[in-house]
Amino acid sequence: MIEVQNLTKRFDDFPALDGLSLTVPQGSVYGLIGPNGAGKTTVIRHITGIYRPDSGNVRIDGLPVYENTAVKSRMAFIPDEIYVPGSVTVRDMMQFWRGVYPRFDASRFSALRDVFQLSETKPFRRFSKGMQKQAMFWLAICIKPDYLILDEPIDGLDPVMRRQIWSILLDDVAECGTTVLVSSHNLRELEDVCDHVGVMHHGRMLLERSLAELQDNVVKVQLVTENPLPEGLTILHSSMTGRIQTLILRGRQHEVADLLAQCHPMLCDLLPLTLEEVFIYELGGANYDVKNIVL
Amino acid sequence: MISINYRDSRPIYEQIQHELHRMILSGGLAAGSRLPSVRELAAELAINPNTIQRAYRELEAEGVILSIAGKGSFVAELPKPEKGADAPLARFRASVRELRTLGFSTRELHTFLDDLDKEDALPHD
Amino acid sequence: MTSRTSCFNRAIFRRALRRTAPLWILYLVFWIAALPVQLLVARSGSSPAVSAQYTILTAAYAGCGVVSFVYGLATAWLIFNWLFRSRSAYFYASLPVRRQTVFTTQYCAGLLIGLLPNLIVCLLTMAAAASLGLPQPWACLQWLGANCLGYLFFYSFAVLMCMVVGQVAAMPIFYLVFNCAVYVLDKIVHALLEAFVYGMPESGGSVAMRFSPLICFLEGGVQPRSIYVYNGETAVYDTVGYGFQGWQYLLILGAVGVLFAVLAFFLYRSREMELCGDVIAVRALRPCFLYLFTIGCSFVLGYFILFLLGAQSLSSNFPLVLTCLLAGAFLGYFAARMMLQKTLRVFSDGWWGYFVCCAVILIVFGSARLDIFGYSGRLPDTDEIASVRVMTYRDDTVGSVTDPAVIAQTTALQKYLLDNQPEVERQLRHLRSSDSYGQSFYLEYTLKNGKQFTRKYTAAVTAETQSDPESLIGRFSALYNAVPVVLSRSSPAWELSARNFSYCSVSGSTDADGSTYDSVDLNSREAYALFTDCILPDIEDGTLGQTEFRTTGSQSKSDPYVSVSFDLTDAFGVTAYYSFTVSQEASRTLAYLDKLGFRPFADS
Repeated sequence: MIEVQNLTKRFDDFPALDGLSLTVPQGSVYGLIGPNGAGKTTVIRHITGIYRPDSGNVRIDGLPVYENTAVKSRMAFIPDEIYVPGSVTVRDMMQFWRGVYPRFDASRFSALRDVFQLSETKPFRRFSKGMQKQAMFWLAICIKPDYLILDEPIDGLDPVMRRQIWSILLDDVAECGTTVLVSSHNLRELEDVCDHVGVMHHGRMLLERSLAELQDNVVKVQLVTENPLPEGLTILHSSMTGRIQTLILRGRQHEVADLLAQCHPMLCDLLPLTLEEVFIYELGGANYDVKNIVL
Repeated sequence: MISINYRDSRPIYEQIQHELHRMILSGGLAAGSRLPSVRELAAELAINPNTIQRAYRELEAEGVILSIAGKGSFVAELPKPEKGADAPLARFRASVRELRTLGFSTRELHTFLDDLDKEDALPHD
Repeated sequence: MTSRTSCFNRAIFRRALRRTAPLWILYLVFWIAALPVQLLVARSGSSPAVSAQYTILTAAYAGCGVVSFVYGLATAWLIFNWLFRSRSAYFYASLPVRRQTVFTTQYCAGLLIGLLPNLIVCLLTMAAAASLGLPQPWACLQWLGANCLGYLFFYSFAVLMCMVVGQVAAMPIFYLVFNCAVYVLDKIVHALLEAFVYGMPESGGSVAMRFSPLICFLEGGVQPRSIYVYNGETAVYDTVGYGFQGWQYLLILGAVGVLFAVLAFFLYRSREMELCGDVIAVRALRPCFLYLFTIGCSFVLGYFILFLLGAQSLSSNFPLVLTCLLAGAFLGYFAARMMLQKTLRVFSDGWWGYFVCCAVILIVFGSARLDIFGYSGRLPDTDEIASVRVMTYRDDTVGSVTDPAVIAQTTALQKYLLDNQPEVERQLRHLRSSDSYGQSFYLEYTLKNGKQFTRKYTAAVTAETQSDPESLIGRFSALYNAVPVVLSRSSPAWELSARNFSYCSVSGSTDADGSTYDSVDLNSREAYALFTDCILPDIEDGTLGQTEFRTTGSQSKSDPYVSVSFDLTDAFGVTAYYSFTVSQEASRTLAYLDKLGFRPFADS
């Protein structure tokens, strides 16, 4: 489990993180969402032991991360900007990672060769950005990490490769209970693979929920009724087109349906919401310009 | 085997649940046959295993599948709609005739059944 | 991996070695060509063993100095290059390797590629020398030792610079600057102070030089030296070999190098990765950099501006000098702030720091100018003086004079100088004609309580003053030509014997026309005879060694002259150099030289 408690970090005068807390449960796929400049990469750099916090702590399985080789050897990190050392090949990098990560599995490396289809002898510098990311995934997977931290990783990869990589990663999640932390802008994809999400803004965590909880607790209703609405409804948003009211309500579907039946509607349609809509309505109450936040 | 329609705004676990249910009802998955494991399906679809897990749980709650620890999930035997259905069917016949005398056409009755399906969230045929 | 405290990681080590491979291969090839190959190829005629030694030790001198300076920098820069960019620095920081392990592994890789090629070259040189029949194991080992110590220092210092300086192009600049800074600043500060403080001598620079190793190596602080052995038969010193001097300095440098490495270790452990790419990557050192840079620029740029303005006589231009210093400080302060804050907009605030620096400069130079500490006005009591030394810039080795009359004469001169300071300075400012000049001289006092201090003054030599015994130059001339003072600059304090004369030569005109010129070397017995029987007695008579201070116009260059020079080497191998221009009155010396064929003053 990754636990960040009250993390504060300033870069000279700029407060990058301001009392941020997040929790990534064991074996989950956690999506970290937020606009550019929210501090996602900064948090990730704390979790991977690059930065030292000004205050607060970062723990994995209860142990602090900074300078802790036991914890870090079970963690793989793919940053948004890949470090390309001069004139090394994939094979050289494999040898290096083998010497640095004790759990590196060379047989897995060979087994995945056909999946990634990258030349092992071409200098790494001459790969395209997408292929460089692919190579990093290849190496990261071979560490058999307990924790996989991905910073905007999937941008730049073609859809086929994305699917293949996620397929492998989720296989590991299912089998070994690997915990994955992904930071991304692509909500569509996160909806598929995540089971927890955290929304950041200005160095703080706005909202942190499991995906199921989020999606189950917001309901969109199109309603036509001549009677007043029943009591006890938590309305997040409402709009009217002709006689049709569109309401966004908090609550579970069947609870809301039961409540609404009290006003004997002529028309009562319960519609599902996309993740994006869920965010917009959940956060709308907090007065943020949500479209900017989420996208 | 299963395809997810990304334009469909229903939650993914619901889509999976309905797809599997449809395949079972239509006979594509025979009674007693083994469903793919959560892990296999998660990898195949590139979907979070918890989502798959949830769909399976819902299907199990409906009685459509059975999970046996250590062995996997299997399609349950569907109850044969034979015994105990005589009285409700007779009542149904009487109700239909009554509605016909009130002026409902067969088509309207079909529409009514479709709406009922929707209400109860069952797949259409 | 968790319980074991490891300090070494093979993968990182191998990568460091591979990364620097072109460099250490080049280094190896360079030294193999410069030493063993050189020995095999170049054979010198007369004394091959000695010349082989010379080749090796000269190589040691070049190696521990300039070559190590460059190689140490290149190695550290290549190995720790990843620290200068955030991508690579973050990559290393995210690896499951402790920072101390990364540092020690890479530092040791750098040490290895410095020391191992040295060992290989040393062995190859020994083999080459042995194959020629001139085994030189000791010289080769000295080469090895000098090179390794020099490398240890320069490499460790470069590593320290990599920890402190985060910007890839700035690091070599800082490295170079710090290797010369103390010496350069010392010279500049002294030059400035000399202008304002009456009597202040310039800095000899020898102490400051020790703190600027690159300069020290270039100026011969470490070098090969000849080993002479006295040949009793020919009464000549033969060069029988070469030694290497400066081991004390080299060993200290090596120790300091280790210290730098330890310091770099601790700095790296506490360093914040987000500062990679900044000029100063250690937050706590930023204010130090700001103020050091400001003060440094104040002196260097200030002095440079003065030089551009062609300010000849600084002493009358105190306001100008101050202005230049403050201008230099201004440039330095805001340039440093621009580097630290990575923006050009630094002028809106932070001026108080600049004003503090200005205040410091004003106080230091103001108090020097106003002689607040009584430096200029110091006049020692004749009773408290144990000995004096009187010399000009030309004099090489000058001994102390304890003669009470001379001491009294010196303090009288000192008093005259202090009483007439405005007049002395005025005369210097108004040197009109082109053959007038200022003659600088030094008075060094050693007190009975052991303290020592030196003063430097400049006397104007003009057509009027050169023949006026009451003028400053006249008074100084009287002191300078007093027999005990002449003796102090004419012979060493220790007892002489023939074997001390390692070299002697007479050169000059053989006849009164001044048209023919000859040069003769004397062996040590002859030299000893000339010196003790002729030179010294003539000096004591006051006929030799007397110096006249005349304007350049009144010196005739075509006058015939003869000069005799001696190299006197003591038991420890330290050599002092003495030279005499033979004057017409030096009867004994002229008689001796006549026998050698030198007759500059003969009547035709």
